[in-house]
Amino acid sequence: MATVDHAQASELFSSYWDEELGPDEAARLEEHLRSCVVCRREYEHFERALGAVGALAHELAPRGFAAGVVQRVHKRARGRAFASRGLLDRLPYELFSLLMLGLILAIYVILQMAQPGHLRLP
Amino acid sequence: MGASPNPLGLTALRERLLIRRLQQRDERAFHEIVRLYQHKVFNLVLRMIGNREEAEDVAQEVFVTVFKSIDGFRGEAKFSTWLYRIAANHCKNRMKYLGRRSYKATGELDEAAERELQDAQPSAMTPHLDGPDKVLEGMQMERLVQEGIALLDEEHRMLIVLRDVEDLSYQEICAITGLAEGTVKSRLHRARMSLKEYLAKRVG
Repeated sequence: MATVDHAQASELFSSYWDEELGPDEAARLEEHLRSCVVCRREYEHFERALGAVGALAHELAPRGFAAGVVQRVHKRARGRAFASRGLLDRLPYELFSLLMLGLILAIYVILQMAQPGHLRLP
Repeated sequence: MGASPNPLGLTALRERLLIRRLQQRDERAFHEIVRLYQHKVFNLVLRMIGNREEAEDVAQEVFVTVFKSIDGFRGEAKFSTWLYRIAANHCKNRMKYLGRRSYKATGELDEAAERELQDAQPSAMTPHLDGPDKVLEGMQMERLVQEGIALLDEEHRMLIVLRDVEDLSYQEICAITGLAEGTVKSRLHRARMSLKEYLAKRVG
């Protein structure tokens, strides 16, 4: 079995940590780590560093984050970002606009009728 | 050490339905997607940028981009991979912008961690530690790790965060970064060795 030197050993640290070395290569590295104090200490530092990275707390998004995103989308799209949910959602606005149109038309007709000489029969 | 196939345990079918509804501009589907992925995206961005306010802003922009670009999502990759790619691009752009303004990202997380310690209310996902000394020790270590990550260059930082913080597979990292697997592995190794050196000097 070929041995591993210092430079080769440190090159294998990541693959060893990721459990991606083949059994022979892993055994050669382990053999080297057992016999070499320098490389063993280096690997211990490596292991400790990656252990600490893996133990970092998973930070949660702040409260109100999701509502803030939706608000941002609405703002950018000037309220036209999302599809209407259905007829019932649109109805009040459409009904209101129809009523307003009807009211304007009625006022116009009344004003026309109120003018002198309107609808004068021959 | 491998990454879980679906970080949130969402079934593929449920995810597909949500995405289809989002493509139809369904507000509730969008809200649901944000709710499901907000913590993952926020954590990734925070670890990359190191500042909560910036991270919140960037993470929100990530979801705005998701909303704007969802029609371009064809389902060839996993939704989470696509989402992480958007997040990675936003992080790179923001870091460039902040770099031009000579921004340093190492301190803010510490203050937040210390506030958290004073409140004695660690976040829901913080691992349980036994006593105050261990909590303090854990937070000091977290601060050092965050400092070490912040000192890495942008690409190395991204690889450490994706692989060692988010626990993604090499396949996913390649899809997110657009790098070949060999390149990812060799750069990640260099990043890990740099971080090891930094921490060894400070912790011993």
